[in-house]
Amino acid sequence: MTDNAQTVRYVRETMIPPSEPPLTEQGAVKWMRENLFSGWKNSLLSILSIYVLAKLLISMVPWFWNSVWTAGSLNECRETLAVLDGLNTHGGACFAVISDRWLQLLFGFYPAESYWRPILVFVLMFVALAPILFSARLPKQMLWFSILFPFIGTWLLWGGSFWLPVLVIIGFVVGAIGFAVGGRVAGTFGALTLGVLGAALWWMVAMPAANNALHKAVALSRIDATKAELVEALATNPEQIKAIEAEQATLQEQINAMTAEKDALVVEMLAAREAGSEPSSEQKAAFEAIMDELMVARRQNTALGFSAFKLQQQVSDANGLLANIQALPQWEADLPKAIATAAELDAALPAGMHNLVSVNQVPAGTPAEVVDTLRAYLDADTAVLNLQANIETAYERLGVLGLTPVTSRDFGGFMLAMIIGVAGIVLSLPLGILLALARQANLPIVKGFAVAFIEIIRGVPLIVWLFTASLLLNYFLPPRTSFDLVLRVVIMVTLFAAAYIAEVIRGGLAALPKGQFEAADSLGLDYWKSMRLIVLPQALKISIPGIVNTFIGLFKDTTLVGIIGLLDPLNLSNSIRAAAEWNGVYWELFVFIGLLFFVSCFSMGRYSLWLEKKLQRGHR
Amino acid sequence: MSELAIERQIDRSHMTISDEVAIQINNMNKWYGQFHVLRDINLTVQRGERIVICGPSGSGKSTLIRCINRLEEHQSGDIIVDGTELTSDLKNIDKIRSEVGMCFQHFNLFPHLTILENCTLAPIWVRKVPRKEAEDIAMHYLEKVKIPDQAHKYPGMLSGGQQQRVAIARSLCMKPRIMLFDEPTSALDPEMIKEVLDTMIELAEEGMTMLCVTHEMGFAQAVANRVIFMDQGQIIEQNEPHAFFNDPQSDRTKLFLSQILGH
Repeated sequence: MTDNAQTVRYVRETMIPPSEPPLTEQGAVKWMRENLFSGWKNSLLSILSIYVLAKLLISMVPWFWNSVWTAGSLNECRETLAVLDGLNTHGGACFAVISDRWLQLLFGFYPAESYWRPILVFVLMFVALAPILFSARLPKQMLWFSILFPFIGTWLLWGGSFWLPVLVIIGFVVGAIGFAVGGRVAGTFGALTLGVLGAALWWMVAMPAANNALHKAVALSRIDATKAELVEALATNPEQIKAIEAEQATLQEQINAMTAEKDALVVEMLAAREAGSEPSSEQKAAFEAIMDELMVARRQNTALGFSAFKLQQQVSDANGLLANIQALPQWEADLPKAIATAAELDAALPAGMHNLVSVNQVPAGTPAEVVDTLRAYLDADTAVLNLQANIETAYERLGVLGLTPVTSRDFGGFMLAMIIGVAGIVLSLPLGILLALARQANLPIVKGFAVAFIEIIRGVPLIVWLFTASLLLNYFLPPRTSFDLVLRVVIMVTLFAAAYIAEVIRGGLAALPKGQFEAADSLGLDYWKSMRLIVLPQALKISIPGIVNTFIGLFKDTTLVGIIGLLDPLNLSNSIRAAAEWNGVYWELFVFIGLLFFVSCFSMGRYSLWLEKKLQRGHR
Repeated sequence: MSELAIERQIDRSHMTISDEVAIQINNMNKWYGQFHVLRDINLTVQRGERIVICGPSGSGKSTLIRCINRLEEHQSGDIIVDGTELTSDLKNIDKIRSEVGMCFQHFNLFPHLTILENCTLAPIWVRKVPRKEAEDIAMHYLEKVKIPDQAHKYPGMLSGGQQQRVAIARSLCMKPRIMLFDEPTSALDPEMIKEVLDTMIELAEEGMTMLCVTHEMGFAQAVANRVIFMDQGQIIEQNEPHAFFNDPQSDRTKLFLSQILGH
């Protein structure tokens, strides 16, 4: 301590109490001063942005405000706008197209009487996701439903017999048993081999056999009842169709009358506008009333047309099925004979020619009669396969016990985007984690495979992969196997997203201090345990923004499936525009589709923010 | 490089060294690429020994103790811990690691788990102890390191000294037979060093076999039965603490001691 005259001993005995901040440092004034007008440059920028914002709102709000929701076509929208508000086409939106076609935009061509199925799946999806998304607040037992949901959901959407999901689940059980047994006998390698082999054998051999047997049993048990039903449908449906058509004719007359009335009113009101005066409020009310009536009548007409179409479809289905039932005994009698013929011809072939699948493959200099035998054998083989396929399909159609099957071709709209998006998201996360771990592994082959996979998948546009899924995959698959287009697209989208997610997670892994790995090791945790308990929880937490970013991208990319002919919402908007009534409607459809996607993506983003906040653990 | 005098009375009644060999290192060599980090290390540690390893930075002392639980791989010679030789056999490595506790300079607590979960994780997943029992064990050791009231906080909310004590408790929950300390106080403020050293002294008083890489010479004088001085990857000198500090033999040791003790 220096000896300084200025140094006086001082001890504070009372603390100064806190006092109010000055007025300019409180409330809205403070906020505006700090955030909008903190200097002349910032003030200028603030005023400019407010001006731009106001301009935008002024031009957009009336378009939404004056929108027309009740109209049967774009022309009627324009009429309504002109008559009621005296506006041109750009003065208001024609959301009538949405009220007319929203179901189609949501479900594509999914049969209307089965809309409850995708809706139920949508609701169940939240039940299944809830215990995963909010694990701390919900009981763990709910996860059982989450595990079963993919099977239930698939069955509900595509329909078919109720035992199908059960048979698929049994495959997983077989795989698990194989895994356990193999693990006891030959370690990890044995477990993996036996598990995969067991499940694959079940799905490819046992499951189709069991499925066919069940269908056959059901079909045979009720074949007489089915026949009676079909015959009755054939007898009664034509009359019903006629009745409906008569009803439609009268309705159409009414619609025509109403349209004429409306047109007259429109001419009258437009004349008034020409003359410079506003149409009277009675006229406006009359116009609105007649438009409402007209819409009701048209909807009724569409519904009638729809039921007539259904009845017609039943008739053609019944004809086909009855033909099948009649042909079945003959097919079943022919099958053993065909098999015998094929076997005989096969035996007659010289060695080395049994594997050929075309006469073009015979080596040069083969005698003509051998070529003929081969041709006969190939024909016989095809006949056998055709007979088998015919019998199988017939029993399957007759023996469905559950929900009416719906083909992937009828899937479309936002439902399709949800199916592909959700399946892709759910499947790509675990795959991405495995890829990220593989890329970090010390095993050169595993690592090389992961790197090659990630780089190849990332380096090629998604559209190319989608084309691969829809066209090229058939070349790589064994002949006569084909699987569902939507499933193929889901696989491609999953692989694509997984490559991105792997890289995002690799970033998370790299951000973890090396000490975390060492601490886990030093406690004696093995590789998988230290990954599961220590490394991945932290790495995934760091990667949440990137992962959700990838998910959002994946979800929006589902609109690309339109390019390979699936009916995504954008593709549907094209086909809606192709209808004469709605030719020329663009913005309204895009606004609606955009809104659907925005709501989904925005909720994902919000969830990720919430999760990040929840997982915050004090300062580091 | 602080030297805190240890003022407390140390209870030496349990500090007994048995004939049983805890760690045996024969002619061990290690390279990082071309760089020869550890050269011909020979070391025998008896059960109950408290060994302090010191030396300038880069002398290989951390690498040496990290070889003992194979956080680092040695390239020649053998290391036998508790009668099990360290080879590339993963089962042996995990077995040895679960018997050998380790504390790091930067604590390396798991930030996403509470203090209690940090302590119960390894007993539950490695030793298969039921959760309730593991929690009882954890609370016992947390009381021992005097922070039972922090059990449900996350590591990020604790001070450095508290975190290091938790790290010690976490290792003890595995009931290790040997404890390794890798500069446990180097990242701490002076006032926190004492609380960690106290915990380590208590551990020594109970007869734990300990290997400490540290610059706390007060601790070495008070607790260690042997001090090892390393330089350039070799053991230069080892002796019991009194002789080591008062009568160092090699010039390298003399220089090091004069620097670290600040005379």
